Amino acid sequence: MTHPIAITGFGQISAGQDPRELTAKALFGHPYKPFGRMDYFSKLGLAGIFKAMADAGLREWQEKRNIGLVASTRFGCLGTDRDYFATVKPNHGMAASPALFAYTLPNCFLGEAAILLGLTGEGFVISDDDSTGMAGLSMAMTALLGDDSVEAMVCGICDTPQPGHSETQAPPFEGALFMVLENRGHNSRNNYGTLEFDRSGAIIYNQETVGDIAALAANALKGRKP
Amino acid sequence: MERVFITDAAVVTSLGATLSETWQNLMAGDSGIRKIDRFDTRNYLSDSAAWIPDLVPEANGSMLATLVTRLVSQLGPLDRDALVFTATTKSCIDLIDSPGRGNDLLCSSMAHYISQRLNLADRGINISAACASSTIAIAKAAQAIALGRAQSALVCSMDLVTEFVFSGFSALRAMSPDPAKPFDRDRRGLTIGEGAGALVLTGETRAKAKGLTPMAEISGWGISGDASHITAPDREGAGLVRAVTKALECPGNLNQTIGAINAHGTGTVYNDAMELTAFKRVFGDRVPPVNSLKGALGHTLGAGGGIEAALGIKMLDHQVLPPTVGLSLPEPGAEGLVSNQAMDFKGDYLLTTNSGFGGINAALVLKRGESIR
Repeated sequence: MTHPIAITGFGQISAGQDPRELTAKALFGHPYKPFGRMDYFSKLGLAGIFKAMADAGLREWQEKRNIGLVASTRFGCLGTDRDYFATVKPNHGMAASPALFAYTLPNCFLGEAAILLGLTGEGFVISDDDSTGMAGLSMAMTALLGDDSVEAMVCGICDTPQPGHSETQAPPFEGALFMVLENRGHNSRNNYGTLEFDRSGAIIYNQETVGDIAALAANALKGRKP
Repeated sequence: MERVFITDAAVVTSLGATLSETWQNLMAGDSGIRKIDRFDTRNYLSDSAAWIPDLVPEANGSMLATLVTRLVSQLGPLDRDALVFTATTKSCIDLIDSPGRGNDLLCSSMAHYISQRLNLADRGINISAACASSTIAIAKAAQAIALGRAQSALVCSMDLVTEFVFSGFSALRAMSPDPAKPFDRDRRGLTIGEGAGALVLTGETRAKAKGLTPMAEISGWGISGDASHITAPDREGAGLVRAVTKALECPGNLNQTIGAINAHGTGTVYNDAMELTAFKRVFGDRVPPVNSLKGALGHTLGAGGGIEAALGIKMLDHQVLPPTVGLSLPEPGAEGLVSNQAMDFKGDYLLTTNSGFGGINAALVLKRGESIR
């Protein structure tokens, strides 16, 4: 139950990037119609997941796969919520945007990633204001360890800057940062090291306790470009 | 694997301020759906929802804090080391226009509120998976206990009827002009609802040590995605089939028979048809009795699975499914499976399912409570 889990892919995209540069062609190498209708939060998250899966060599697929998705966030799609409600207020909802409303659920980008990449595993978003992503990482590892039929888990963090939201500090990472986890032997294209639980349930990477996903990624990617 | 018991439960719904009151009104065939005066509905497809008229804002200015306070005040003392999981799709979204309340809009806000209010050590996290949020939160809490990572967990689910959500479902044309009619051949969509549910989960070791009598056991769970559409279910129910199959294959359920199914049953054309297809794929020609609570309680979104699991305890205790309110003529293929009357069943196991936007599906198997001393 506690064997090491391999990190086989990373995908990272900064929220500082000009949103206009975040195009399907630039990301996927080809047009992808649904991408244009997505909100910024979803685009970021989908881009991060796609890059991680591509890095792990899992981008191409024929049959849907039992691969799960766990994302952690502080703000979620709060910006999209505000954009949507701005369409509701005038004229008592007459112009409420159904397209925007669909993206006022923070898990919708996981559904988009599942469609794009053929992923049928579990998928949910954890909202946690410590923004370390550790709860999600722990759940992703547990899912992989507890069920042999799970091929891989993709987990990470996704947050967008919230202008005017001064009540809390900004998350330590603004953008999307995802990693692919696999049981050893599934995929040998990349090996960024292994993760395991110690007896107390803490997550260990290279003999050190992991405190947050962003630091883990920085450590794992030293000298490499995902 | 540690067995996981439900040792306390509570709900607040449009049909009652407690689990017992809600249950009695459900069994009487009542509906909590009523005309809304909370906001102007003139431009929406419906003017009604299953809402709680006396839910006035308190504490942080949101009605959600009031709802949650009413919910957790019904619970007995909790172990301080209990994990805290919440499940909400939109948290205090009634504050979206209130300057300076940004923190309350975060989905994690109610987890922290509950943790502080109950003096629990864990600050808590929120699980968001659309209308499957609370079923997944219960599954994750149960998994933590089953694997020995915790001995106690509190799972609270909650969502409000607000103009934000109401306008969205109206704009998507998923909302029924009339009260929802789950599994009816003339169903036209869902009716929004509000409410909250709480389950206290306890590991067998601690339950025995404390001499607790379980209300029920969580004997299985499964989660799976459709990977087919963001706002519509897979027509063949592939994701739900996988989720249910996984739940049924959990060790405690092997060779056991499901006595009844509390379905998601939203009243939308595609959801209800998808569920029937999935149940037939799993159970063949032996689909057990099926019901939906959403004609009575409305679709309470992220709260739905939690409320339904709490009421599932009552269903198992009394060996009866409450009436599917709103149903008059079952859709083709549902004849004999669903009813607008209460349906008796025999069995110790209840399957309860939810599905949501993003194409996510989740299933729980509840086992009737028994003495463990």
